[in-house]
Amino acid sequence: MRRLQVIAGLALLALVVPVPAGAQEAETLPGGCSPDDSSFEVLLLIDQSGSLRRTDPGDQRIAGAKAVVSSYAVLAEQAEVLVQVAGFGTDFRVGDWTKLDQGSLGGILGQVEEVASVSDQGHTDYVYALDGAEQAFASGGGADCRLLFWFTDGEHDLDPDFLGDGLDRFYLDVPVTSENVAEAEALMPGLICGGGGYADRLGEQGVSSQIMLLGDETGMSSDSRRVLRGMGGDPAFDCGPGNGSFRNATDAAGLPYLMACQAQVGLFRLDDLVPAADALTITDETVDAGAVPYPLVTGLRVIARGDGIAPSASSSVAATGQEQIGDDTVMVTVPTDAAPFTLEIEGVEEACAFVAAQAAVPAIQSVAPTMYQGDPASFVVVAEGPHGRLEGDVITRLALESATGAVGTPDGSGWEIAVPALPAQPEFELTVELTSAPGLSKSGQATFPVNEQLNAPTIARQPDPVTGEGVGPFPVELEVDPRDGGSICLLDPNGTVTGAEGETIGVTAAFEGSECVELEAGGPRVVTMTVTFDRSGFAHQVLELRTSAAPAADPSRQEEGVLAVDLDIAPRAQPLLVAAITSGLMVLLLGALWGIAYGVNRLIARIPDPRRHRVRYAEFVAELAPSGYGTLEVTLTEAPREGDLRLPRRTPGQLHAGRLRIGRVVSALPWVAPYAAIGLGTDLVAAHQGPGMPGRRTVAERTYRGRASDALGPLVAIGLSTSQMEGLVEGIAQKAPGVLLFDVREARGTDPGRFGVELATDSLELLGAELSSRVLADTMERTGET
Amino acid sequence: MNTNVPIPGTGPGRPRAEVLAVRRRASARARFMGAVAALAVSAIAIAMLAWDEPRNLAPGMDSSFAKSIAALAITFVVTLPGFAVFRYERQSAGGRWHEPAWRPSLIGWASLLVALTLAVGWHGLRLAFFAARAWTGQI
Repeated sequence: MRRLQVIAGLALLALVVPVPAGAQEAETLPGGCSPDDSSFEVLLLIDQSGSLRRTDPGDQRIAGAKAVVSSYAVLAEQAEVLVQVAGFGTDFRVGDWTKLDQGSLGGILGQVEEVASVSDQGHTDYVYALDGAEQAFASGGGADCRLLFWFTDGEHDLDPDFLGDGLDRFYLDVPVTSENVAEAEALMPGLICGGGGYADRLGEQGVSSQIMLLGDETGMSSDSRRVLRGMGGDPAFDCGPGNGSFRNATDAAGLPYLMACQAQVGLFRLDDLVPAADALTITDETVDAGAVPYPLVTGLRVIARGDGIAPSASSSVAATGQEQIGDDTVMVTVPTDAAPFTLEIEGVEEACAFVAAQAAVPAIQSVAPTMYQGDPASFVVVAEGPHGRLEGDVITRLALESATGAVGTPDGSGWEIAVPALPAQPEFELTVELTSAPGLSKSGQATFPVNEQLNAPTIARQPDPVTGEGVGPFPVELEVDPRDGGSICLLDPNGTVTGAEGETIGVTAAFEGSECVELEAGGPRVVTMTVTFDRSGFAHQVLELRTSAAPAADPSRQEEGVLAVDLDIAPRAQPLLVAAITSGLMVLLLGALWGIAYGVNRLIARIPDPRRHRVRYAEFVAELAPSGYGTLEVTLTEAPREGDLRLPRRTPGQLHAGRLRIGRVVSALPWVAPYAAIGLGTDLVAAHQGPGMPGRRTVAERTYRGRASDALGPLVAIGLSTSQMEGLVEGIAQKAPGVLLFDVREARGTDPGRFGVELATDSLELLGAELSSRVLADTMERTGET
Repeated sequence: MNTNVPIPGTGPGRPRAEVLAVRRRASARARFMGAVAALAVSAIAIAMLAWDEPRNLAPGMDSSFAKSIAALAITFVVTLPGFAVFRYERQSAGGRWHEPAWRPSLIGWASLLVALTLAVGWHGLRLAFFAARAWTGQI
């Protein structure tokens, strides 16, 4: 039991603890009404209890109620607004639903003054007030937004002084008297906040309660405070659906300001507006920091309270409206566009501000002009605002949803929606919902034909690289597939490329002088495009040309693409000059090659130096005598002595050893091997050379081919004239000069002269056999024998 | 116990002339192989200098210019002298020294052909085109 008492005490404490002024409800979207709502029902429920004569002697509530109606009058310009002005106190004094417009505004304001100026009711019965409100809304036709604007200056109170013989209440079976008044008042919370009470029933009808209390709520009974705060949107008080708002004014002078601030439905409230030095400054950044992105805002409404309120001359925008709605309250209206602005209002003590905004409208486009059943498809959604298309960061503050496709991340210009597979239907309908701010959304819908046989021509593959010299025109062969026929156009035929020196080169592309080429339906074919430069230069980069293809059956269905042309263009080079330079280089290289080969041949065919090898020569005379056996005997008639051995004269090109001459022969053709020509200056030369026996024997006309190394010996040669040869054929002995050439080191310690004689004797014996064959051949040639 | 098998023509009793001939043969072979290696390396170097280079020389392509000029310099300074030594040793083969095998000479000729073809047909032609453009004021 004690525990229950503690819990009850804590609950009571929670209910009676005063709420600070800053905790007053301030909805971003007052009443939960969206700017898109098209119909409104507003019931002004005004307290008519006698206590108003004390709490509001200046009738400020009348000015406030008129401000409320005036606010709805602005809304009535674009939506249907029905207004009913009702009073309550002991009873509910019903009014009539009246459509608010410029014609009826005066009459309604008159009703407001008439009802609000009454303060003759002795009691304040919340139950009767809400019962009447419920019936009033039930008699209405229904609207997108329904508002109960409830003004009261005190708690639920059945004053015993005015009960008289008893007060009939429908919620009590017996009249209320001073004896049972406490019992009657205790029924109020249950009737309103209990299950199925008036608060719930109003909520079920879509009514949002905007509650304005004049007075200090902390002095009220917990039951009355529960009703006002609970229906005013505070779920902690557990009364009603919590879709309302609550504000209270402790001073009647502030009523017009507070009531006007609370009546701005269909607008978005800007929070945290604090005047500095009696001046309120609002900029586009202030607005953008609110619930709505600034590009969607169309107007600004400021309700300010203070002395001498007036927009400052330093403001960058001018107010289009300035209305006095109380002794010290002014409403300023400012239109906005997408441009930055600064609004400064002087003389402001407190202010509330609201922005009017329009939802961004989604626009749906298909990425591909032709779609087929079962194929994936992509769509692009862009947002159109009241001041133009939305782009950049503002896109990220919007939310796009689609039940028929996957929405991608916005890229700064819009969203891409991917549909994995198009349904098997002739049309595909894409629906999106674009939410710009809480309560501010717009849906979009687009229908696209599917499987329509309108295939625009397409470029089958990117062209091969374009190479050339000069400025063109350079032909570019494009493989195109006409498909169903149509045209391919260059959207921007004039492009630029950057040359090797950073210069800009203008490039013009064309299809036979035209920007478009028409293609008949059919198979793939080759279309020639030309590319022309406006100046000569090195262009080694990719030229991208935007193209547009449209089917012939529906030219409006264009498909854009990019044609990439790989350029490798250089300035023109004079071919003859290039050939001359290249030929010169080739001649230089081949000349160097020839020089090397020729030089090497001369090098390897050089005559060895006899000094390094101690080569000596000696001249002798040999006698050639025919023998009886048809052979020649060659003998020395004058043998050389040691003193006859001499050093040959030598140059790298030739060697002179007496009558013997060895000359280097190098052909100009590098591939012909060099050799040494050896002879004695006679018509015939017979020689035996080479180390060892038998060596090399030869009989030749004038000279014979040998090697340069033959100059090192040993070499024995004799020379004969033609007449001597004829004499030998006739059997007449002849004497012939000869030369002996050898390296004296070969004597190996013996007498070089004697070694030479032996060498010559041996060689002449061999030469005799060789010459015998030659003589025999000449003899047989002369006699004709075979 | 010495188990070395005596090699004919070697040993302390070898004549000086024969020793000198062996030295000449050895040095000639080294020169020949060096020449063939120089030809092959220069051919590879010239080919590497041509690798991945654009066909047209343009102002600002300093490295490409340097590569082509370096290739021609290698041709004159390495390839042609290498061929000279190669040719000398090959022509001298008819003397007291015989070439060891056919392959080094094939490598030598092939390298010379590759080097000259690339030097003239790529590097030289690139420089010739550039010189012709510069000469006629196209650059």
